[in-house]
Amino acid sequence: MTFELSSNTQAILLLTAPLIAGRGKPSVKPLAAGEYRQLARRLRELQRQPADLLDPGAREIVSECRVELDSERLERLLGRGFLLAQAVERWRTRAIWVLSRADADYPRRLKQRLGEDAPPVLYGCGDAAILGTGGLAVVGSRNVHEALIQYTEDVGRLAASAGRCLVSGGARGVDRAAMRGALDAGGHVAGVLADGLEKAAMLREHREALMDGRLVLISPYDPAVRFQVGHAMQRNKLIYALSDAALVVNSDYGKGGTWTGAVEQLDKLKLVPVHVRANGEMGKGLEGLRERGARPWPEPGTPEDFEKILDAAAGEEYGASGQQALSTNVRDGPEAFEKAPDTASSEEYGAPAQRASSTDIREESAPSEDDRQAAPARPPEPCAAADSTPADELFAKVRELIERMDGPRPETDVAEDLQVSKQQAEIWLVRFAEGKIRELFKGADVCKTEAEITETLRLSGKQVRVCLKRLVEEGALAKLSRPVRYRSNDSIGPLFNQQDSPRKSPNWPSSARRR
Amino acid sequence: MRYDTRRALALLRAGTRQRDTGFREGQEEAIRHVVEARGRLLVVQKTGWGKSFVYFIATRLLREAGAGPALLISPLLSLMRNQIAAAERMGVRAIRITSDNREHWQDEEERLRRDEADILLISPERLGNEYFRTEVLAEIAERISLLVIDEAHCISDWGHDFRPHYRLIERIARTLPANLRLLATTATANDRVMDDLAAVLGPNLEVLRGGLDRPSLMLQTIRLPRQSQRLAWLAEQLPALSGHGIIYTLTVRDAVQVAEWLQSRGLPVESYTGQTGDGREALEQLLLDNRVKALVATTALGMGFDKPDLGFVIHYQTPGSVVAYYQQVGRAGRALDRAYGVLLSGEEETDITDYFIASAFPTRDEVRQVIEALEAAPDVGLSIPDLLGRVNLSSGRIKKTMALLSLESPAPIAKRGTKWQLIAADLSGGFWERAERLTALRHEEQRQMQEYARLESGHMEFLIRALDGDPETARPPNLPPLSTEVEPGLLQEAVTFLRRTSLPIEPRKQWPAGGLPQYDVRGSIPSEHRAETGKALCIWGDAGWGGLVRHGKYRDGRYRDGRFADDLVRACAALMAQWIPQPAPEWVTCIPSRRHPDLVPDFADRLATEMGLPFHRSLSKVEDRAEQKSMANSVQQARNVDGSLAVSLEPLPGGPVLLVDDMVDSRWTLTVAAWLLRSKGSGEVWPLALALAGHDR
Repeated sequence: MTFELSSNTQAILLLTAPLIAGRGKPSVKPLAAGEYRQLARRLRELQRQPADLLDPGAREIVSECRVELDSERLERLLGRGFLLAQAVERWRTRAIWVLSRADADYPRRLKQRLGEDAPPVLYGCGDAAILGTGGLAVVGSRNVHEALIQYTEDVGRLAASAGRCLVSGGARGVDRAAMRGALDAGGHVAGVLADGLEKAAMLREHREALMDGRLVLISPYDPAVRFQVGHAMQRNKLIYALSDAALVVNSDYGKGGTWTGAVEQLDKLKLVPVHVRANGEMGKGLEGLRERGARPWPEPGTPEDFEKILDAAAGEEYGASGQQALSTNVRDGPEAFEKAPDTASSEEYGAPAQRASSTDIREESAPSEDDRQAAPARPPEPCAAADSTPADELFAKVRELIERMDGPRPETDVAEDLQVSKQQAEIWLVRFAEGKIRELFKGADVCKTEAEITETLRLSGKQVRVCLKRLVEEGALAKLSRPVRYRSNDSIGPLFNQQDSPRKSPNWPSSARRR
Repeated sequence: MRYDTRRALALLRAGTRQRDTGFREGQEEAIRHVVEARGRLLVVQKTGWGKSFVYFIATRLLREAGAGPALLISPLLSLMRNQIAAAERMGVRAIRITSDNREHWQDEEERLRRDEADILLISPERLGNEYFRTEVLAEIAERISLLVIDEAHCISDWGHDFRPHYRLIERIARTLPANLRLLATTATANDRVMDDLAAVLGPNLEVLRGGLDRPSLMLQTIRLPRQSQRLAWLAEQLPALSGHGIIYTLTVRDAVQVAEWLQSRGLPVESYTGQTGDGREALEQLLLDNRVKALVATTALGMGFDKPDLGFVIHYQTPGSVVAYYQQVGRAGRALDRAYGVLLSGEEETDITDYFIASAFPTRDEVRQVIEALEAAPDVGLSIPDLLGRVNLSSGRIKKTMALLSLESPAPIAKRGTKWQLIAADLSGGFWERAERLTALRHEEQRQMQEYARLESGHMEFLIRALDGDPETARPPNLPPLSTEVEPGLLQEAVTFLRRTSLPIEPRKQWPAGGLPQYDVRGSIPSEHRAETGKALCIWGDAGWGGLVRHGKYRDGRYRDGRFADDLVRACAALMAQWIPQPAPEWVTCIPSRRHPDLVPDFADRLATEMGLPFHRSLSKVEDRAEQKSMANSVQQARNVDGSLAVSLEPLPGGPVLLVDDMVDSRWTLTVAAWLLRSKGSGEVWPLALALAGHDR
């Protein structure tokens, strides 16, 4: 894999990427997807490419574009050249490459199927050629039973023995089980990550497969970026788009990333046939997906049967009617101008089938930016929990998100990730901390210092202190001195059985605010 | 951005403190080119032409127009001190972050964050430092408006002064988008270097190149094989030379020794090396103020040291390449009508240059050992101390291997915190091709310098031709050549000086990390079981006794068991007579060896006789171990000694003892021997060795 960047890729990175090279806080906000799309269209109309923005005459081009973007902001973004070099160097030392839509090696499937929604930039590690081989997408949730892990690993193994690629998301649970099954059996795997590419690329368990050319890890987000709510959803689209067919191993009903992603495929995008597991207990989630048109997975037992299913799916022109607009118009995504004449093969850009009228953009068939933002926050179905309030349900989701954050969880980061005020983040974090501490002191005779608790929970000392004080006041914990440590108070032990459902405590938020 | 001629000229005049001065040829063009962002520029001009005015004035103009700060990368920032003063006169706020001003880092970093710096000066190594990149540079990286690469010839494979971190600069230069201003400067670049730079910096690189001749220089070469001859020559010629200058040596040890010798002859000189530390600035000032006759320096006194009236540059040994030599000798006589550039050449220089060439890259075996250790290591990786326990390589070699591997692209290893980890990339075959190509080139450069050292005439023409300049431009000097003779009386004194050295052997006070399990010892060594501070006669292979020691151990030993010369016995006895350890040793013993059972005992016995003391063999080797010198670092050496020695004489004589060995390296053998002797009832143990060796030295 080459680490050299074309001028177009340089320009696209400067405009759209956060370029995380260290601790520095960016003083200028990179273009959001919608903003970049707008600029890209105007450039195309002017018969320009992004690389032209690196020329001495860039200023005139920008003013010619007449986009509703602050020209000083554009200038500052484009002036980040040294930072770009630093970021690229950081990626390179971790064997991470970067491809933009202007590069010939950018996966064609993504451009063809997602059009303008294909990420402008992909970061990756391993052999990018794997991304062109299709295969089976396997999705499911993080917390699953051992039996489902077994089942999923078997699916991965079968894909490997059929010589087909396995596409998945690299998250805990189903994703990793599928990838593990395929890799252990010598197969090929594409992992599409929502965050943490930098870490994943350096994991020892990935190293051999990456170096053997059997594993590719990609992400549309900066390799150093931390988990953010919208990312996982956007990532789901890529998993489907890279595959020939998809299998949902399990899903919550009416909520969660797996559900939302599958429903989006079934209702809107229709990129590939979506299957649901047919063996064992299906649960409400999979049944719900079946009702919306997902097919039962034929549960093939041999590599030959497996191949047949994928070949049929690949040849099916799945969703052709629903996708008609999409599959013609997509080709007018910004890449039409982004080709650098020296890098793009004529096959890639010049094939007649890929040229199409340039005018109408399929807002109605591709999900808008707003849909994407809204999707993960879609309110859960009312039947989810019998006696929980909407606030509890919201918090259940928040708790799940906080759990997924790497490293420490300062409230500023949580506030930023969840796009809520710092006060709200504080309230949630303290509530989160309370649940975790209750969990921690569940066993008999648990005795811990504040530092130990803080470290285990990866929360700030402040949050932990507030909770501990409260729990001591409440009588749930006993505070021992010399050294100061906390012990579960046996006399009110039953309290700790409730740790999974946060109590409705009217005075809780105010006590959090009291500090 | 518009270039303002009048403002630029005003800045030049403020910087030079000359009211009516004007730009040198090409200077203004260069500044305009940078300010107006007309593309990348390479300036090739002799030291003293005023390259620093180009980037300081450009920086100031850019800042006045609201642009972000400039970043300058230079391998030797000592050069910058007087230029920074000029910068400040032009209102350019410069910040240096280098290894010698660590105490200011926090303040300087704070100033950077507050945007109070116009130009940041750093070394290439700093740019490779993870902390610096992520915590300091990252904060301003998005605003940097101009990148200046000083001594840009180092980017090139062909550059004489190969610095691994220029690999990093090369990659950054290749990745920079075309709209970032980039200025590269160097004093010396032959055609091959220029081609390389064009490949890295882009086909549209604009080049501004000046001429090479130095008409004021009288160049001369003198062959004096032995160091004693060259010391004698220097002692005689130096007082007669007019003005003040630099004497260059190849190694730190030589710089110190030459300076000591000249000082002992009453000459005001000082040594200046990479190990001089904080005193470097003061020493440069001494020379600038003509308060020393000369600095005896390694290349640490390097590029850009700016003294226009330097009267002479003398080389004590032949440097490795023409480019290096031209840079160093070119410091003499820049603003004088006449100056001397004399190259002395001697017998040891080929070995030294060969050593530099051979150790520039890790060997395949070193790389294999490190990678295997990392493969067997836990997920979090290994620190350098971890590696010392796992591979038989010196810490210097380990660090060099890690540094070079991590600068590769793709790099097979990366550092997180203090730990090194493997990453998902193999070392490319290009690494070895490059190492082989550079090694061959170094040998070719060395050969070319050897040819120069033999020249009878036409020295300047030779240098200009080697640098792809026009040799016709060379004009003859008007100075008489210096004498090539050596005065016999001085020669004898120089021989005595070289043999006078005796070096302390400090006792170890701690057992190694993890202790010595077979002896069941760990932690600190009780003071009553430690060796005393001992002495060594010389350094292995040095110009005094070193040759004779090597001869005794190997030349003879190749055919029969060797014998150390009687001269060495007398020299050690003389050393003892001067040393007079108290309480005085009452008997003599030695370190045993299975490979050479009689070499050291024979020597120790003769020394004991010469000193009138009894000699006893008191220690024995319990089992064969690999030779200590095959153990590459202290941890490995300590383990290699563990359990290998025992006291074989019962009872031991009670008094203080002189413990003799031929070579001392890690001191673990001496430490264990002293501990054994003292625990079994001997008196104080005084170590005496013929030579100090050391892999890490």
